Amino acid sequence: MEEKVTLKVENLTKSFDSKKVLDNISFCVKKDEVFGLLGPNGAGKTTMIRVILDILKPDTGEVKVFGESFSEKIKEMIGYLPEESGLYKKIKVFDCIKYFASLKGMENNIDSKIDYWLKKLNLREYKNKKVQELSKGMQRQLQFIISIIHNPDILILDEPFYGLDPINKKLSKDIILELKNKGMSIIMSTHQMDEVERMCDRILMINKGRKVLYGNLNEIKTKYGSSIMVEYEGKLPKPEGIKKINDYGNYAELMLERNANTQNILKNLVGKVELKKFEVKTRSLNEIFIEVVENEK
Amino acid sequence: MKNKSLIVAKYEFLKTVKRKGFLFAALLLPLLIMLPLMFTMHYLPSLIPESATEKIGFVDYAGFLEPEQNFIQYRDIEAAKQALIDGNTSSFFVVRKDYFNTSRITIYSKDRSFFSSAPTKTLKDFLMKNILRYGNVSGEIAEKIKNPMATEKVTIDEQGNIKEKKSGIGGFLLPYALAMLLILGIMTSSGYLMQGIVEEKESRTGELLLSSISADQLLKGKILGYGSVGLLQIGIWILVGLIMIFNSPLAGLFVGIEISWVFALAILYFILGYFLFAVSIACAASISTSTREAQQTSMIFTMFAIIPMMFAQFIMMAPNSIVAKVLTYFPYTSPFITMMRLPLVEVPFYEIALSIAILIISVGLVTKLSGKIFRMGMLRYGKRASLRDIMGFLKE
Repeated sequence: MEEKVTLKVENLTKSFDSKKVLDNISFCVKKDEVFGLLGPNGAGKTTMIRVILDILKPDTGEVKVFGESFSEKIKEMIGYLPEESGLYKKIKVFDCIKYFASLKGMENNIDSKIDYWLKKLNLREYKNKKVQELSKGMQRQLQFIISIIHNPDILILDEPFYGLDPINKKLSKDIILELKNKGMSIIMSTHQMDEVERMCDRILMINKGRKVLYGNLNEIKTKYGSSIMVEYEGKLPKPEGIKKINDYGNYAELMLERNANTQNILKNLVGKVELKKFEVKTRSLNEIFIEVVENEK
Repeated sequence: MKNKSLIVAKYEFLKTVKRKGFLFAALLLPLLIMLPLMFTMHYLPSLIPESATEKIGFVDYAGFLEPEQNFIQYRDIEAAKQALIDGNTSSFFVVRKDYFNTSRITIYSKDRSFFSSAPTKTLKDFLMKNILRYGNVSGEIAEKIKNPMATEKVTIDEQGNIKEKKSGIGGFLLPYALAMLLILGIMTSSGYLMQGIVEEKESRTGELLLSSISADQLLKGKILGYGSVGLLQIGIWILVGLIMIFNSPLAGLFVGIEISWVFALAILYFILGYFLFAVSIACAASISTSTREAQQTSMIFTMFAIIPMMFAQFIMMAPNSIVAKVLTYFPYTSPFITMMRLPLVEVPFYEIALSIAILIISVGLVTKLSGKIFRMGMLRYGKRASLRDIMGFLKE
């Protein structure tokens, strides 16, 4: 499926002073997929994004978009929503979007596209208001519009749901999936693992600048095995076939050993604790994330 | 594809010229300075009633003075004192009997303030007029003695050809005023640039901008935008100044001055000087986290602009001294120093050409170094970059 690759990163290494922030990382992002870029704080995600955007130059390795090295034209094919606020506060909402749209090379139909997106994200009435008059969530939505106004081929979203209420979060999520279905490649960097599980097709997890997980999300979850979710009262024992227990008091996650028999585990628990719920499921990405990062320490 | 630096330049230009601060500095400030000056020059003399003109008393023991409308003679010091106390005169003076040997006179006034004593020039004119009359000098000769020369300076080269003709104080004032305007224009434009960059750092817009445009394009756009603001500001000041001057008695000072080449040089020096200062200050702003910090960091460059003012008197006295020449070649001072020297001496063409060449090379070098520092500085939040960080930026 090589023809579907939109972004290809090969053997990327980047150091600041003598500290390696990215260590020989390779991955690719395909057309019409949501790609999760994960990692704990300080893992090198922001540096990775800055290198992809050509804001920072790598020490070695290269980034190719549609098989081409970076150029001004390619910069216009990428949309970016940074994690930090990055708006001019004293200008009007409309002027702010228009300025960034012009910098992304848009020349035609800017006004009508701005109207379309303002309406879609319920910001139309704020069109002529100053940016500083908008709430934090609205400013985040405004940044989202700026990242997609020029209809990019690749969209990089850094913590896209930060500061959004549940309604706006759903609205943004719907738009992201809509853009994916239209063929956009979306790279999403976030700590909200539940959103990654719901939205991402494939993921890359980096820790201390190194690639620790990469591939199809379902395959990764299958590889990391299943767990049992129990809700209980009493003192939870550690039955055979369980390698680790994350006990939260009233409920617990039991990590299964390979080839563990879940029926035997259930039998071992019955009578020892008062079971209210017993559910066998694939392990959550959150658990996998914690395990991978802790194993790296 | 549109030039992105031009998009940035247009945005920064329009944003700045719409600011109240700019409108005040560019339009209101020159009006506030020039209008009272115009009013004073034009109307004040006619507004002072004849009766309000000061009357000066005198006691003449030498016996050669003749009273006039504003010079009232008293027979002795006591009578003159009484007239002063009564307010009939603003002051009086006593000419001693041995005046023709000693030239000494004593001036009496009510208080010790500088302005209350008799006006020296009026007094001198009155005494000279009476001395000439006493010596039977004709009126025409007396006038010549009072104003013996009206100068016109002509410089010739070694073949005896006339090199240059400079007329009066206007020829000196114009380039000097241009030098001052250059300093003001460059510093205000750079100030706006610094403010703009710090605002972007504070609002963390830098990263979003750099995802759309390269650091070099962004820096060029900003410099172009704020440079245009500076040129517009200087243009408005010059226009207002010219309108005011040519509608006032000062107009005579500037008649016959060849100004086109001075203006052309001034614009060239403005552009090059502004680029050098702007790039340096943009660099300082990008490694700072607040306006205050940026002002502190850019102080080193601001100091370079102050040097010409500090040396102004020295340059006027010795415009061909080694100090003047060194400062003509030093890129951060050359725009101002050259403009100051131009009206005073014939600055050789090679000196001007060399100073411009050094400026151009410096602009190129500083832009190259600053581009890297600016790119990395714009991405750095919350902490001012140290010297070690800056060295790291340069390796990027």
